[in-house]
Amino acid sequence: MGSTTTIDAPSRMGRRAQAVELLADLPRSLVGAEVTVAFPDIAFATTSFIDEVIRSVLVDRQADRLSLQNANEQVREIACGSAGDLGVTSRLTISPA
Amino acid sequence: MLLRAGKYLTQDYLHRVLQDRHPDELTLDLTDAQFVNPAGLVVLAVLLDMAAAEEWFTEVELPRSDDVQKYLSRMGLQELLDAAEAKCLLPQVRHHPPNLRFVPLQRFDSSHPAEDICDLVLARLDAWGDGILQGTLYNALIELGLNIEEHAQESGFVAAQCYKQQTVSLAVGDFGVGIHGSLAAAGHPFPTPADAIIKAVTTRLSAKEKDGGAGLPEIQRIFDRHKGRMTIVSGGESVRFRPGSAPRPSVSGYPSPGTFLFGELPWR
Repeated sequence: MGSTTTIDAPSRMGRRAQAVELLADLPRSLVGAEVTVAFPDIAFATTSFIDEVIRSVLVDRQADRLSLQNANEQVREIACGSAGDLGVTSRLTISPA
Repeated sequence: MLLRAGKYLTQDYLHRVLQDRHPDELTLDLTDAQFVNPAGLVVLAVLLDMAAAEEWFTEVELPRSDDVQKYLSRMGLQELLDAAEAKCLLPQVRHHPPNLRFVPLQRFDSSHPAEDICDLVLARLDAWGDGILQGTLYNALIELGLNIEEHAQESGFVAAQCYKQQTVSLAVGDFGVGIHGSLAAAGHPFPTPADAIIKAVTTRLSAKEKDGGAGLPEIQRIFDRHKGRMTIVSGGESVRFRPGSAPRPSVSGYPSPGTFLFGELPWR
């Protein structure tokens, strides 16, 4: 059975480098694993940040699943767009705030 | 460069007010200006910054309108007038407590990264619409700042303002090589600047840099998703993007150094 890792997102999410730093401790391969990113109640995010999280976890590291927990409407909109662009929608789960 | 403002100094009137008349000189005649919005303000900022960098002789006629003078002062234009040695003084206005309707001029360059506007923006977001509008503004302003960092060879500016809980207006601009020149240098030549703008907005032309911004296609998507309007001016031509409509180019032939993006988002 695969492992599950939970990461707490900051309240202000800006450039890609910030997402890279947030995920820096994850192993290079996440095949068979699940990653959960938990968002705070008040969160501001850019397209770049959310796109980098999805790309890094589901495309580069090939995790089985990425769950975005407590995602507000803006985060949900961005995530759906990025996952669609990257062709990974079926492996993304979004739980609304 | 000559800018002679009429009653309105906004994105819709730029083609009437800018002339490439005197090389190595900048004349800003704002005498008749009665309304300036963030778009007009960012154009003034970019022109003054260019004049300061190139050491042009700079002459500025301030607006007759006290209100417009105060607006320019509140939005931070004095620092740029001083840097260009324009020898004119705007009236002093109180900056504390900050007026939550305005995001004053903010410079972006290597030493003023996009995050610098975070505090300015976030300090005002409680007063600006609901969570969706707040999040959209945060996203748009930071992404636009990152885009300038990525593509402008020199610095760029951003400013924003909300109007009576109906519209939020934001503008960014820089005096880099422009979209047409930038794409040509990258091996993507286009017949006209408007063609280059449309292609840059509707197609992802280059792989994303590891720390690059979301790029113009995603920025346009942000505006489109929230029924906002966006105009891009570069290389003397402009293209309007409206929700659900095809891009509308306008070949005006006026000189516009660098690239400007003017956006409006409805209050919701």
